Amino acid sequence: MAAALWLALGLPALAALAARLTPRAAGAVAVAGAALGAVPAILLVVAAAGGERARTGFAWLPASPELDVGLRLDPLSALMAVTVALIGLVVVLYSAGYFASSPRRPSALAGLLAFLAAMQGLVLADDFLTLLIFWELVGALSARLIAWNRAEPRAPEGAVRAFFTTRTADIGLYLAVLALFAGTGALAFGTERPEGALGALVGLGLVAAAIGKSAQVPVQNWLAGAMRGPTPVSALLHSATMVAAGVYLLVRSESLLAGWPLALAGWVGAITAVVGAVIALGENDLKRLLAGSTASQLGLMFVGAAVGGPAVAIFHLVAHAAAKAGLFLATGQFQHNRETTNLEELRGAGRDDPAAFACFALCAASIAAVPPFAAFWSKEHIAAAAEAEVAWFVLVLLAAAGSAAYMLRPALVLWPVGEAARAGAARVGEVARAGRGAMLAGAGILAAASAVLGLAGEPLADLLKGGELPSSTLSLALSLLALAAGFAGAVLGRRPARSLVEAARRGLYIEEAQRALVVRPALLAARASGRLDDRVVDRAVDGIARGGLAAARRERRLEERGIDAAVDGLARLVARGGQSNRRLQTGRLHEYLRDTVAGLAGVALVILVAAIT
Amino acid sequence: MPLLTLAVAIPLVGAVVAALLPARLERAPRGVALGVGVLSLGCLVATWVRFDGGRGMQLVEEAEWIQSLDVAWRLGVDGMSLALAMLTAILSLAAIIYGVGPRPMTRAAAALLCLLEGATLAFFLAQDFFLFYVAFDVTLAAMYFLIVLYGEANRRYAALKFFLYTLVGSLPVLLGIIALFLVAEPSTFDMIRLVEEKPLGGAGVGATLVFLAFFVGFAIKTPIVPFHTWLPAAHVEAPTAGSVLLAGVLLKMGTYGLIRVNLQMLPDAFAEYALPIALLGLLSAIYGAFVALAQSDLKRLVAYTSVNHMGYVVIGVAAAAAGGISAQARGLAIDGAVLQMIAHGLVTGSLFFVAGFIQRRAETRDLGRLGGLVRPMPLYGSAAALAMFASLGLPGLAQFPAELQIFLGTFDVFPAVAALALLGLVVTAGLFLLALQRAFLGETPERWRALPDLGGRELVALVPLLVLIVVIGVYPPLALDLIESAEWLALGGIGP
Repeated sequence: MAAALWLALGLPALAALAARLTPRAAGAVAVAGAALGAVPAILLVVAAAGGERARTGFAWLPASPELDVGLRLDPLSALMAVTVALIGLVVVLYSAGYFASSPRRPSALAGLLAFLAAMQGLVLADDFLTLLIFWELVGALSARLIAWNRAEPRAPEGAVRAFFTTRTADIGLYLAVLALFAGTGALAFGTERPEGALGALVGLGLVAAAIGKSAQVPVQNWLAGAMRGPTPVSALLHSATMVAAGVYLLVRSESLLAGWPLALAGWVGAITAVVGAVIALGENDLKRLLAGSTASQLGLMFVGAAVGGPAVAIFHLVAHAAAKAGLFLATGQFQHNRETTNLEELRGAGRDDPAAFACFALCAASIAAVPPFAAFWSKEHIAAAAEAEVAWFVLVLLAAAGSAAYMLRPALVLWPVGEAARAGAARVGEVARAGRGAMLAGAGILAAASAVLGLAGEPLADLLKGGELPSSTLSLALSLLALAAGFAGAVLGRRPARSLVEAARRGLYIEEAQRALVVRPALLAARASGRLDDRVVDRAVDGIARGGLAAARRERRLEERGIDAAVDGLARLVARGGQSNRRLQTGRLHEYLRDTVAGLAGVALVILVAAIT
Repeated sequence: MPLLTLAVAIPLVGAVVAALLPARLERAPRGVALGVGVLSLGCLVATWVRFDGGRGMQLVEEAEWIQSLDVAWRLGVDGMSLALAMLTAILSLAAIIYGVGPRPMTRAAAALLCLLEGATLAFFLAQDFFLFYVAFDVTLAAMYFLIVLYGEANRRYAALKFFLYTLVGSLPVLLGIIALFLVAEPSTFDMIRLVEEKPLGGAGVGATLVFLAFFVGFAIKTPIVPFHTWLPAAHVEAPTAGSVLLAGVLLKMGTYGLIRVNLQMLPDAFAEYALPIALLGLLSAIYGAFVALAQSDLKRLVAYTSVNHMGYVVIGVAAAAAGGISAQARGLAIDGAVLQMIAHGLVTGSLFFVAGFIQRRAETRDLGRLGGLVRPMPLYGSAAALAMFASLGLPGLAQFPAELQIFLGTFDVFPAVAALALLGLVVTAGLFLLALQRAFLGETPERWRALPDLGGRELVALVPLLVLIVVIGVYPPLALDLIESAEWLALGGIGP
């Protein structure tokens, strides 16, 4: 199975390269590559169901064998891999159509395939080092895809924001890796949390990284910015797979996070479930509405991971992935028809395009937890598990009511009941026709999956050895009640109080808070250090140099006027002395004699004086 | 065949040949320089083939020079020397390909590039302090003339500052060398013997003074905050290829000395000062990142990120020197530090090319004036993005394994330093993302719409560096199996 593990990652990567190098056939190449890449993933899940386990790796930091990198086959990794591969295949198929009229289609398809490869690496990773590598790579590739659309002026900003926010949260993963290595001497999955401060770092770090990647409170806002990327990118990265990596991390690290870290994740998830729902209720842009919904649903998965165990969280992850990706794909269809994602401008867009609307409605029903669609079952298990923690249970039910409302609202806008169909209804433009078949096929597959995936719960729990999935009459009854309340609210046009919506629309002012508390101080600090560097440190150095120069100049002056002058003066003196001496040397013997006597007398005088005193 | 001697001698002879060429052979200087670059690199690759990773210092070539002082032409390699020498040869070749000054390359430019390559190689391969010191100062002179002759507007100031600052730094190094020479029994400049015998290996006032003398010199060269201000000035004014070599290779002379001399010859004194030096490294990493964030000139920005990245190296070396570190963590820290030198050389070299390419086209490097460059110059945009992502430490690219090892090793003794150093990752991510957003993405202003994309010579200079960045990032054993610090550190008597 080692080969299948490497192929699951390698085939999409090769396909990315191939799609880039064959711009004319990029669509076919990309779909074929994604399809081929799904084969090993399916083989893996079949093998895992048959009880097979495998690990494969190689030395990466040769001096430390504990730090090898590698991939693993176990039920969780196989299940995630097959989810990623299949949803990825559908989105790539859809994208071949969606980007049909863009000259930069090869670049978009290659980006999606490269992302798929990195995502497979993330879910198949055998240890925290490998996981960290791919964790960061998906973030970077995601930024590249968000910035892909050069016609969207705010796309670069969204890309930068998304990558920067998640990378900041990834410092948590780095810290956890450092502490885990210090505590256990390795980075293997499935160890116990170390004692004391190291354990606290591991717990906090992993939860922080999960929060960042899954756009949970307080960093949920980057997801809305990421919606400026192309819609298929939003479908694959920012709803179905990459953002779900936070949930996967919690599940994968269950043994490390037991106790307070999971409780922390549960609280964050429960709060985000409600906050995301409020944001979705307040949004007037369909994609951003879906982004709010994604944060909310991921919050529910956090709760599931905290109280329900792996099977509960992963079941909702799978059900949500299919439905939410389907919603985005249908939205992309409307976007092609109307060239907008603004909800008001999309009024009646569903009626213009009933096939796309059918897909939208099916997937929306699943997210809204209408029985018997997939997410109804998975959410039910989360609610039942949350009964143990009353506060979470209440928040989960509130989120459930919210999801019913925020899904029905756009549906009613897309297909306004009671309004007459517009004249000349089907306004499907030239652009929209190109690639329409592939797009509808993609959305349709996911809608069908959303209808039937409810049956997957039990087998999935068996595979993950999760035991019975929690379920209770109370939570079932209350969930249905929440559904009814949510629908009623949406039909009556009730939306949360304006201030709440406004707050939610602005991301609970967290963006402002982040800017005021983190970004601005950081930039100020940067500017201050820049100024410090130029005006103080550098000037000090120049000052020392200047001081040296000034000293040298003083020295020179001293040299010229002082020492040099003294030397010159001495020389002159000697010269003068020499000249006057010359007068002495006359060659006349009697004068020499006189001088000698005078000299001797002088010496005698000196000796005399010395003797007396 | 004395491959190491050839690797050093070919560029030095080449420098003389290039300088003496008749003026009418216009293309000959570049040809000579290219030949020198290729042959010298070839000698080192051949050395790599003969190199035995498990043996520490080896392939020593020795010839008597000044017998009475035990000065000799001693060249030899261990993993660190060979890795850095190869980095030097690779970056020198890239610099020669791109060239400095007017085209075709003048005799002076070719001679200076050859001289710089030869002196730098001599420095990294020297196992004799006399040669080590001479090479150190010759690189200074060569770089000084490269900046003064081919630099930008304010080049005289920058070149003089660079020269004086580093020269001042080299004086305490000279004092330290003399002290080690005098203390050794019998007196010697033989670095291999000094590493093995460690005449000042213990603690004590003498060892501490000698340690500090070397440290100041190497701290200026690295540079460690607050001795770094020559660096942005020199980089901004230096010609593109000069910046590539200055940041890519010459900075490593500081950290190489820190490992070779301070760590290997003066281990106990270093252990005493490990924490303060780790803190200075941390200061460099954080402060460098923040100052870089404030820059709008792409070259200055890259220059300050060098302060940040070399700060990580200093942290790793200091952690390895600390007394309480485990053998495994020490190996990680030093492996990481040496790999970071190599990775940073490749990455920052690429980034200075990136800055130089746009300077040549747009005659500005101001991020505020540039914009939307990826549209007219897609190749350039991809190359710049790759280099920047490598510099912010993205996995799959060369700096990630290096920095990760430094952090893993450092966390063992100085957990708080390692944890705080992670802050640098956030800031560098922010500053490169902002730079990408401002200069490369978004609307393309009218005046940049017709900029030509990268041409042949630029690609030939840059692409090999980028390929190496990816290859080392994906499969670091390629470099780490060569570096193999455990072998030479143990041979030097450090650690278990």
